[in-house]
Parts: sequence; C-alpha cells; structure tokens
Amino acid sequence: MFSSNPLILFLGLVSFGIFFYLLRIRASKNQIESFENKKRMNWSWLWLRYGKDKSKSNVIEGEAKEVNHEEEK
Amino acid sequence: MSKHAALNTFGRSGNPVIRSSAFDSRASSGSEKMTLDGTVNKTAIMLAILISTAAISWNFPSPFIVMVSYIGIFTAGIASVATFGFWMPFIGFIINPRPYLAPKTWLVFAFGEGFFIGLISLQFETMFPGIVLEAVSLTFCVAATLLFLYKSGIVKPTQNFVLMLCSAIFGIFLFYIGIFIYSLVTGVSPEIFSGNSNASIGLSLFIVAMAAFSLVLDFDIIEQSAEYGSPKYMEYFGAMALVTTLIWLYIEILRLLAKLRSR
Repeated sequence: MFSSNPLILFLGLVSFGIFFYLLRIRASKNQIESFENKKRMNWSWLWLRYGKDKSKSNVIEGEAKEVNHEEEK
Repeated sequence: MSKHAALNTFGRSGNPVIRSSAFDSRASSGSEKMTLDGTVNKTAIMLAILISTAAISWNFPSPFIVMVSYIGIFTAGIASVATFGFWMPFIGFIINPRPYLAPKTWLVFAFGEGFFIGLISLQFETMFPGIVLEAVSLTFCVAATLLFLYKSGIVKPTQNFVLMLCSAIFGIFLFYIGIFIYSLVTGVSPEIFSGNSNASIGLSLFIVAMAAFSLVLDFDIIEQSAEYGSPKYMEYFGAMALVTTLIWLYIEILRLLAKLRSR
C-alpha cells in the first residue's frame, strides 16, 4: 500500500492540510462581491424554495407602524 | 425638486411585507445560521466515518461484508437522491432537492459510501499496489488547488459555467448508463471505458476535469450559504455535496492511474 511515489504522498499530505485550512477561511473580497453580479450563480433557491418552512407564508407577522411626519419633524 | 422628493414626502413604507427581508436571499432571523466552521467540521466527520467503514470492507473482504457493502451503497444512493434530488429530462421525472433532510441522511451516506470506496479501492490495490494512496494524494492536490483558485476569486462560477458543467455531467451520466447497459447485454466492458488506449485515457482526463470543476460548485454553495446566513441544515448539505464530489473525483483519478499503469 505504501509503495506509492513518495513525492506524490508528500504533496497529498501537504494538500490535505491546505485544503482544510482554506475551507475554513472566508473567500476573498473579490469573490464575495461577485455574489451580487447578475451573471453570477445564486444558490439561495436551495434553501428559499426547497427550505424547511415552506409550508409557512413568506409574510412575516409584524407591526405595521404608521409613519407620522409631524412627530418625525 | 429634490431627487428623493417622493421619499421625503411620504417616507419609507411602513408595510412589513415590503420592508421585510422575506424576499431577500438571507434566512429569516431567529433560526440558527450556517457557518463555515460548522461545514468544515461536518466534512471532516464525514471523511473520518467514510475512511473507517472503508477500512472495514478493505480489511475483511468476506461475503458478509460484501453483502453489507451492497446494502450500504444502495442506502447511500437513496440518501443522496432524497437530499440532492434527481432530474431526468425528456421523460419528465423529477425529485426535488430537500436540503433540510441532510441532517438525517449525511451519516447514512457516509457509512454506505465508505463500504463502497473500501471495496473498489481493494480491487485496484490488488491489481496495482500503491495506487490507492497516490489517488488519495492526487485527489487532495486537485481539491486544494481548485479551492485556492475559488477562494482567491480567480474562478467564479457564472450561470453559463454552471450550465455548461451540468450539461457535461449529464452527458457523462448518460454515457455511464449506456456503458452499464452494454456491459449487461454483452458481458464485457467496452474498450473506451476500461481499456488503456489514448482515447480511453483522454476520456478519463475529461471526466476528471469535470469532477474537479464540480468542486467549484460545492465551494460556491458552501460560501454563499454561509455568507447569506442560510439555515443550519445547509452545513450538512454542503458537507454532503463536497464529500460526494470528492468521492467521484477519487474514483475517476483511481481509474485514470490504473489505465496509465496498465500501459
């Protein structure tokens, strides 16, 4: 089993460490900002469309406050 | 007249539906959110279980373990179809993805796939000693490289990228079904699939490339889910998707190395 090429095994070991290190850190600003791009793939349908609470309405029960401009001024 | 005259006159809407984040990509407040750390931990746990069960089927290749492995593969298949969904064009067969099932299916999937990987790896190792560790090493080399390209923003999965990749993966899926039917009918595997000709190696390289690019989609699902504060179950879903693609990549690299060694 351990008769493989030692260089490949060493590279694999290093890559394993790098893989889990990179997986834990946040992506670059460049990548995060691209999420807002129209042509970019958006995966939010996975949890919005097929999420757990889809039997519930999307309307959030809130308090509709009347805006009073007199008070604001 | 000021540019924001209407806003100044009428103010911001008091309607909770219009104001709310109900139509935003972000999960509603109050529920537990997904984190990158959680996904990494679940991926590590899945890989640990997978390696443990693979070690069992590797070290004790008795008829009982082979039977358990087949049951495991079948169960893992059902778990993955239930979680990721299934779509068969032309005949209109659709099973919707259910990411919220992932916390229930991820362990079943890891156990089942582990038995499968153990059996396959043992077969290849018997024919070509040392091939398994090389394939594992190369799998993580490819995964780490693509993860770096993704995290640094060099590779960005656009809609066209995903469309082309999904078309290629669907083509590979149809090809595998064709090979399976051909093997059942004739009793032999075709040269292009299991031979060591240039065409066969080229095809294997293409499939390895597609499996590697699929990793980018998994990284993107995980990153976006964490960024948008999606529900907690997306941690399990992301880990399952990542491990599935890693297994596919590993098997394809294993096959490619076997073809190269048999020349």
